[in-house]
Amino acid sequence: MWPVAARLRPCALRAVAFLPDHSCARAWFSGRPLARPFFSYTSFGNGRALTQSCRYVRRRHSRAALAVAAPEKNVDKVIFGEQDEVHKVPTNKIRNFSIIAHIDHGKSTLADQLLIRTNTVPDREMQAQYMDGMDLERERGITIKLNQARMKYTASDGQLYCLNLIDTPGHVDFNYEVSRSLAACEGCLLVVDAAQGVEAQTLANVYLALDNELEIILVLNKVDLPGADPERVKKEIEDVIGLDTSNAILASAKKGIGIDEILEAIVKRIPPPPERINERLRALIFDSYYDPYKGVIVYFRVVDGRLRAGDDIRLMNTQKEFEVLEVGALAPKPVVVDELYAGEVGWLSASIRSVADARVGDTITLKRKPADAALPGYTEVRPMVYCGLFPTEGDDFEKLREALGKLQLNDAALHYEPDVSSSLGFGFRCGFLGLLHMDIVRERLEREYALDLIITAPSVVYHCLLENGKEKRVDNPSNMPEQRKGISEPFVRMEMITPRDYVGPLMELSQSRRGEFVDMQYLTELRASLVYNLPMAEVVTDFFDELKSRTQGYASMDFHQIGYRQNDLVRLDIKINGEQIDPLAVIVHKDAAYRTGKALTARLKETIPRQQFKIPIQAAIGSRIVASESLAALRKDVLAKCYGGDVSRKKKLLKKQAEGKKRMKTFGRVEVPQEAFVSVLSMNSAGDS
Amino acid sequence: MHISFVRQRFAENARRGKCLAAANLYSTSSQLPKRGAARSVPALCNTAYHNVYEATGNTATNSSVRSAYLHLPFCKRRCFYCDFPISVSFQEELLKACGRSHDHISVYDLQVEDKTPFARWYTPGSAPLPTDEAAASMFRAASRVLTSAGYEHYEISSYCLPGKRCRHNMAYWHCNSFFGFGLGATSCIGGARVARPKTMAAYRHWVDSLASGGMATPAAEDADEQLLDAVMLSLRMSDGLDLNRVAAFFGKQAAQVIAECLQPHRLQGLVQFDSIGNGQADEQSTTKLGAVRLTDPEGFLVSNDIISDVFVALNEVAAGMQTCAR
Repeated sequence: MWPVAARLRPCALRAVAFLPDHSCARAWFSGRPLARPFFSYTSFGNGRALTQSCRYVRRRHSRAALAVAAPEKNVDKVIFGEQDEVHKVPTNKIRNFSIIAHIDHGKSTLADQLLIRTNTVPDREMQAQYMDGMDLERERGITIKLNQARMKYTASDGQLYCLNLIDTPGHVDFNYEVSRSLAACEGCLLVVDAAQGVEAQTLANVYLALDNELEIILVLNKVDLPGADPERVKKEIEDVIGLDTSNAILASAKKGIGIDEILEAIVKRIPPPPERINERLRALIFDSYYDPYKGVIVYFRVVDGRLRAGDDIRLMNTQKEFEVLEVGALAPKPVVVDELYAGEVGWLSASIRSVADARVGDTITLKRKPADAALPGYTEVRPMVYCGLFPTEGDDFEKLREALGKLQLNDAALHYEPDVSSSLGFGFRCGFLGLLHMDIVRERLEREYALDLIITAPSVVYHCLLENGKEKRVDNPSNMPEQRKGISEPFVRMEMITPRDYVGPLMELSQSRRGEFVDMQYLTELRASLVYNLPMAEVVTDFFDELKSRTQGYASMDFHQIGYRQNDLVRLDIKINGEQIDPLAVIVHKDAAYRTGKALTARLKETIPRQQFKIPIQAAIGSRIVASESLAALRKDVLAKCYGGDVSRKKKLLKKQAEGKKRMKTFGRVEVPQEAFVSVLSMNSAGDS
Repeated sequence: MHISFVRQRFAENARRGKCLAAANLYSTSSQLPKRGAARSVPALCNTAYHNVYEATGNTATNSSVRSAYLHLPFCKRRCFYCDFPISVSFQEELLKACGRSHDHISVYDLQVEDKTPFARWYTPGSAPLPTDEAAASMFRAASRVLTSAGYEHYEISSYCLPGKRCRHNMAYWHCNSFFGFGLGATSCIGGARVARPKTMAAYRHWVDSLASGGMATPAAEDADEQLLDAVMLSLRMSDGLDLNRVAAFFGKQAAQVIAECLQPHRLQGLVQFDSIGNGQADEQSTTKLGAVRLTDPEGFLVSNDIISDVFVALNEVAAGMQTCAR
C-alpha cells in the first residue's frame, strides 16, 4: 500500500501529490524548495489548457507529479501524471466494465492485454494472468477472487478516460462472484472463443448481464487459432442469444490483435455512469476482504454522492457506523485517493473488524446525511455442497478452527460449523458452492496451514419427514433418523450444451443419475442443448468430470436448484472389520444401493493397505449387508537385499512407509489412510468408476 | 571377498534389469567351467566366473569356501539376457543345494527397482512374477528345508553352516566402517554414508580433488538417523536388536519405545524378545531386556511392516522431544 494520501490545500499556490520515491515528496518533507517548477490549477484557468501544457511538461519533467483536486463546486477535475498514479476524470469519462466468458475463453489474458496497452502495469512488473494474484489461481489457471483495475486511456478523440475493469471467475461454482461484479458495472465485454463458440457459462453470464441491463460488447477471441471460425460463431450467437453481432470485435488476446478496437468500443459504446454526484451518498458493497493490519477492506461502487476519507459512514442494513480512514482505488495495485464519487469503483478501510459487519450487498451511506432507501442488494449465497473436514490428528482441531476462520474472512461463501463424529472425533461440517470450491478450500488449508485433513463424502441437505410430522434438515448422513416417514432431496435443472455427436452419451449419463428429461434443442446444426432435472446428490459428486470425459471436453453444463422432491432414499453404511465407519456413510437411492455398495467396497479394498490380518469390508443398509469384499492379510513385505549402497535408499523407502502410516486413522484394529476417504469421495455414486 | 564380489555383480545386473534371475545356482567348486566353455550357464555367470578366476589368479579356487545362489527363473522362454534353465522346481533346487553342502547359501527373490526397464515391464506380485502368496511360501520352504539341513538362517536372505557367516556382509549389517571404490560406490565412515560420483567425468574430478585436498571426514549422521540405521539393519539379522546397547547409545527412552511398539507384534508371533540372564522373556523391566528379533520365517516375511512401525514410534518420540525443546 502506498501510505501517503494526497491532501487538499484549497487555496494553496501549490498542490502536491507525493509518492514515496518521489523527488517532490522528498523535497516537501525536507522543506527545501522544489528543484523543479510546479503548477497550480488556478494559474492555468481551465482544464484543457492544463492538459495540453502539462503534456509538454510531462515530457520535460518526467518525474513531476501533481494531483489537483477540484474545489467543492466544480466537478470537472483533471489530473495527469505518471502511469502509476491515480487519475481523476469527470464522471462522463468513466467506464465501468467487466469481462464475462466461459472458462478458458481468454478473459484473464484479455485483461492482461488491456493492462499492457493502457500502460497500467510497468513492463517489469507484468506477468501472465497478472490479476490472478493467488498462487492457487495461477497453478490451476483459474480466477478465484474477482479483481479490479483502474486504467487510464487516451482515446482517439484525445480525451482521457478512466476505465475500471473487473475480472471475474468463469467457473460455475463462482457464479455469484460474477453477479456481484456485474451489478457494479455499466457494460461488459462478452468474450467468446472463436473456435469453440457459445458454451454454457457464456449463456449463463449473458443472462446475468442482461438481468443487470448492461451494454454488451461482443469480442471473438482466439481468432489467430487455425480452428477459429468467427462467422459461424457469430451466427451461433445470433441464433442462441439473439445478440446483434454486426459490431463484434475480432481479437486475439495472446497476439494482441484487436485490443485498440476493444478499448475504443469500451469508450464509445459503454455508457458512463449516471451523474448523481449531488445526491446523498449510496454505495453498494460488492466484495470485502480482511487485511491483518487494516481490518476489513471493503470494495464498493458509488452509485450516488461522494465519499472521502474522514467521513462517518453507516451501513444501512446492519446499522453499524464507522469512520473511514482511507479511500482508494485499485490500479490494479491499491492506491489511496482523497475522494470517490458517483460512478467510481474503489475500496475503503475503516478499521472494520469483521467481514460480517460489512456484508456484501449492503449500502454505505453517510451518517450525517443518510440516504432514504438502501440499494437493492444481493441474496445471501447458499452453499450447495457440504462435506465434513476432520483433522487426522485430534490435536489439530484448534488449528483447523483458526484456519477456517481466516479463510472465511476472505471467502464469504464458505460456511462451517462444528461437528463431532464417533469415529473421527471433532471437526467441522463445511458448506461450499461446489466441488471446485471445496477442492480449493481443502488445498488452501493443507498448503497454507499445513493441516492433514480427512474429508467425508460431499453430501447435500436432505429434508426428512419424521413420524410426528415435523421436518428435519439433514446435512450429515449419519444424522439421518432411522424412523422416518419420508425423505426428500434437492433437485436441480441441468442445462448441458454439447456437440451433436455426444447427445447420446450424455442422455445415458443423465438417465443413470436418475435424471428426468425435460427438453432438447438444436442450437445450431452441430450443437445441442439438453435439459434434465437431476437430483443434486447425483450432481455434486463427479457429474462434471463424467460429462467432460464422455464428451471429450466439448460439453459444458450449468445448473440451478429447483426445489425438493420426495424419493426412496436409504443410508448406506460402511463397515470395516465389523466397525461402522461413519464418515464413509452415504445416502443413496434404494435402487442404487447395491451398485454403490459394491463399488465402494471394491474401491476401499484397493486403497486400504493390507494389514496383518484379513479384513472384511462391507456395505450395509441398517443391519442388512448389501455388498462385501475381503482384504487379504499381508503376506510379504520384506526387503530381500541390503548391502552397502542400498542402506540409505532402503531407509528412505522405510521412512516413506512410516510417513504413510502416520497419516492413517485407526478404526478399531484397522488403519485407514486419508486416501481411502478421498478416493471414496471422488467415486461416482452410480457405481461405475 | 570373491563371493561377495560375484554377488554384487549379480545385484548390479539385477538392478539394471539385465538379469532375470535373482540368484543363480552354481558352485564355485570344481565345476567351474573353463574359459570359453559352452555350457548351459548364463553368459553373465560366465563373466562372473572369469572375474573370480582372474581375481584369484586362477589358482585352486576357494575350495575351502563354497557358496551358492539359489535361482528360480520365472520366464517361460529364454531371452538373450540370460541362459538359465527354465521351469525348475524350487524345492528341487533347495534340496540340490543342500546336497552339495555349500558353506553359504543366499536366497532372495528378485527385487524390481524403480526406474529400470524391468520395472516398466513387470510388477512384483503379478504374472509372470510369482504372487505374494507364492513368494511367501517359497521363502517359508527355503527356511524350513535349509534350517532342517543344518544351516543357520542368520539374515533374512542368508543361510550358512555354523561359523561360516559372510564377514563382508556382516560389516554392512553391523554398520562397520568400510570404503567402497568405483562409480557410485558408497563408503561408510564412522556411521556417515558417502556415495561417490556416478559418472566417470565427475569421478575423475572427485579423485583429483581428493588427491590434492585430502579427504574431509564426513559429518557423522545425527543420533536419530543412526538409531534408525541400527534398527533397520539389526532386525535383518537373527541376532536381532540388542536393546541394552540401544539404551546405552541412544537412551533408555528409545529402548523402551521400541520394546512397547513391538509388543503387539510379539502377540502375533512375529517378534521374539530375549532377555539376558534368565531364559524367560520379560518385557516389563528394561534392565532385563536383551535382544529383540524377528521370528523366522513369519517375522522376516513382514519385516518392512514391523520396522516401519518402529520408525513411526521413534519419530513420534523425536517430534515430542522437539516440541519439548521448543
